[in-house]
Amino acid sequence: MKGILPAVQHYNGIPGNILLQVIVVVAIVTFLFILYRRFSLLRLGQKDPRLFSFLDQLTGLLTEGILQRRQVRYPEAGILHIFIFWGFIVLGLRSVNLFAEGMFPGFAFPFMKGGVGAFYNSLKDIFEITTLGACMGAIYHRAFIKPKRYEGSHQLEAYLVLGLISILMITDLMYEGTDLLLGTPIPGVTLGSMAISWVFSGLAPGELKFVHITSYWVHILCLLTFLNLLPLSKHFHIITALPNVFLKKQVRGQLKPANWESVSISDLSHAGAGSLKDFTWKHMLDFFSCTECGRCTDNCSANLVGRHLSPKKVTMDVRDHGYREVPIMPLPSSTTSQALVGDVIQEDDLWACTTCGSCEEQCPVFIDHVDKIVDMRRHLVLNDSRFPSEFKQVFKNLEIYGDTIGKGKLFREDWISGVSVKKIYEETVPVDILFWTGCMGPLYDEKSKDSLRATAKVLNNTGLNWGILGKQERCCGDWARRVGNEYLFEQLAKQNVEILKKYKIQKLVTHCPHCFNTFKNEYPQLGLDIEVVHTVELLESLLKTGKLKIKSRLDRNLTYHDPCYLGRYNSIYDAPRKDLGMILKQSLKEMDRSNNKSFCCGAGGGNFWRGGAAGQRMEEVRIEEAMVTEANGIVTACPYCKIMFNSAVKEKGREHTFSVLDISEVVEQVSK
Amino acid sequence: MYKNIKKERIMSETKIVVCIKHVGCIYHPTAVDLSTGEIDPEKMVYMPNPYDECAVEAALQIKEAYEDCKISLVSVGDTTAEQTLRYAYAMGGDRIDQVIRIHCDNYQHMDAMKTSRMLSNVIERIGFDVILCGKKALDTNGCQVGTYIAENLSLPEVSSVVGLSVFFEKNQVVAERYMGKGDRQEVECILPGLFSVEIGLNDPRYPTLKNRLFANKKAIEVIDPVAEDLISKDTPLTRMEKFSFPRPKTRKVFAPDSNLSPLERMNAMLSGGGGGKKSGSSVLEGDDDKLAGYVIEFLTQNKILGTNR
Repeated sequence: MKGILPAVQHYNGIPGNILLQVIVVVAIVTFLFILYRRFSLLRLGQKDPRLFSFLDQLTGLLTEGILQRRQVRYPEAGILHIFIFWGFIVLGLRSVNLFAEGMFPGFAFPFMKGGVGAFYNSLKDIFEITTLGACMGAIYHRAFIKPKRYEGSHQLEAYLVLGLISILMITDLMYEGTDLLLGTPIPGVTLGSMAISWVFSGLAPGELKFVHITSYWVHILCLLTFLNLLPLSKHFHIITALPNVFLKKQVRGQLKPANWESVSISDLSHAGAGSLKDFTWKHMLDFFSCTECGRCTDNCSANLVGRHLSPKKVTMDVRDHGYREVPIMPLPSSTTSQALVGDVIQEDDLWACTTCGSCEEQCPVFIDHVDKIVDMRRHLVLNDSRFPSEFKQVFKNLEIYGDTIGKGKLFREDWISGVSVKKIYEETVPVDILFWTGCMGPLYDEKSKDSLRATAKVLNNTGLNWGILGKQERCCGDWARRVGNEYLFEQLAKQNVEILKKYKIQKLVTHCPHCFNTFKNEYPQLGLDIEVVHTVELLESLLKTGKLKIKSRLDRNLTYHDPCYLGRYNSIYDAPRKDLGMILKQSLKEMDRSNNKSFCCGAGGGNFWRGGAAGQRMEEVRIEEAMVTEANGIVTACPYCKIMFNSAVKEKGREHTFSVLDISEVVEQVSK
Repeated sequence: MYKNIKKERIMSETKIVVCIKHVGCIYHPTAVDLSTGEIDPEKMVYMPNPYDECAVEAALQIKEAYEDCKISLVSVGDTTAEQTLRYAYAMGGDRIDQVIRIHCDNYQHMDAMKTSRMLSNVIERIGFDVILCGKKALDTNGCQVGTYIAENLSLPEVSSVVGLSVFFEKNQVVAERYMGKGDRQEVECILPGLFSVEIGLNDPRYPTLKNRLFANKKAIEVIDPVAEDLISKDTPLTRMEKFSFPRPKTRKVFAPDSNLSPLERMNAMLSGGGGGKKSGSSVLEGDDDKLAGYVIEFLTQNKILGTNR
């Protein structure tokens, strides 16, 4: 029981507790109203099933939400954030206690007696100091270190909130400190409060009482202001981030279907996101949850080479557009006539995305950037027929020839020379493994075919019973889907599913990570349920089990580039490194940006076929990074990356001193 | 003979007819069996004739200016030709009013005279003010059907059209013809008339999802030319005797310049050339503004820009 309570004071004759009750009710009603308006924006969204496995999602929430695993990837800001986050969790109870005390004099939590109370008081005191310190650190970080990723974020909002949090901490410490001086015993070791009481020890009891009561009211009012500020600012994430992490995507590599409610695109009259209401409710939650921390843009391959695209800006712009469309106070003049794509989001920005997934990989609150970009592309392609002019020929190639290059199905078997390869349609005995070559491998150029031949030789050395579909293969549809042509994707995918079912394929090994991702993560939506592995995984198991024998270790100085669709989308970082570790004499050189921070080769998301992109060439930037490691070759596991790097190496005039290899080519050199 | 027709036009009766061909193209060098002359179906792909796609696009552009006119698509072919008709229909969706297929099983080997007879009979039945067709079919390279139709219907024909402005109220079309080597001709033509279009006329639109789905459900009218006595009884005047492959070329086989970016290499491959003649060309240098300046200067000097069009 406190000695002096603000609640039992009278202010101009009004009892303190009544005054507080009125203020709290007003504040909470306002808060709920704002929340309701935000919720009505969320309810505009489409269906999006996000509950799949409670246990998995809870684990995700604990590691990524509560333990803030992704925060530490940016150590300074990350650790500061963790302190503030944990401060909020611990101090939540204290705030409730303060309000209860003020509204109902004499209130105390029953469990806050004795040891527990003393422990909590000590803990609370420590966290108040650390949170205060972290706020100061964050202000310093923003004001003086000025990381580039904060450009374009709401800086004033950030300072305001950091200031408010600091005031909250200081006033609570003052409230406790003066209470100590006024003679109330506070259980526990409360260093902060003690320090404050030492500062104020010179004051007369009347003045102390004034400071005591003032700091209480300042604290309470700041907290209520803060509460109402949350849904109005980027700090809405304090409320929505944890649900957003809990509701994160089940399968990382699976693009959102055009509409969750329809099985086939043929049921839809329009597809994609051409206006706000075409996004799903989860996308709206994403917008609320964005903290504008800029980690996405800081890692965006397109942004880093100088293109205008910034995932952070995309999220912010669409969110601001949403707030304009569904404002807190609907005014007759407040409806805007801005088009989502074109006015709010630049078309060119949408096409600049290579869907490398780096933004999603870094986002601490698991915002799906790529889904939204592809959804807006779908709107452009499917509803408006607006896309880079180069794409039309590729669309037609896919429709007419079944491949992106437009060569024709028989050329898919052209690479078979000097190796024996079973063609599944000629065999009477079914094969155990189907090797899916994809479009780029057999159709692009001789160097691409080399990697296929290398894989074939390695597989033949192991004595596996494998075959290819050859001329019966079609493009897996990754390209069409990523540029937004869902109709074409569905056409191609249905043909492929049919043929795989016809030959009763059980295990599929793909040469290209794009095919791998599509077969593994997206075809199940179309009813294909088979085992899909990428060559690097197969090689790893073959090397590990000893089925694949090596002559001697290869003495080469190499570096490895993580293809986006293998690494970030499917978390296959270790398998290729283990493969190379088992066959190389020297240890693998790592580039600065590797593993989940890997840089895109520039070919993904349709950008292989798109010319005229602004800025540097992505493949050249990447090759420079590889050359800095002083390796004399780069190994990758994706035909697109290989083509891009080959061209970059030639551009640099280093084709004789720096080699671009597919992982299968490296393995082939040592296999026996 | 049409000079005095300048009557008040009732737009809802104004009709545009577009002729389309489902072409089968050989993509593999060994597709034709020389001894039998038969084509291996595996080595062929089917697609809408790209010239005809431009004709459809032209029709749609006319419809955008004169909303009340009606567009009909006509094709001669077997059931597989419906793919092409559906694609063409999907380009315009419900802006296209009628889709007709004249059933014919071995249309690939049919002589142009016969095809055009069937087409002109059907077109006459539909009614017409503007007939649009591609200059030629990609597979046969014949350039005949359009001309024959015009002859059969006693119409004026403007061939190799690269610019088309239709003025229904004046009963007149101003067409720009491509004469080769960049020369152009502006031709005024009184309606009704037939226009066979060149690929550069426009950039055919890519069908939207909505129209694709429309097209998949669209009922295509099938006309049986035998039953309806559209087919001419006379034996074909021409017949294919022999097929031969191109002689081996002496010029160097084109390999994409490996110094180019993948996209440029791809474009070079798709265009099928080694980048063209190098002589007489120079590389322009400077910043974007300057480069744009050079280009504009070039275009105005060569009278491509700044004319009245």
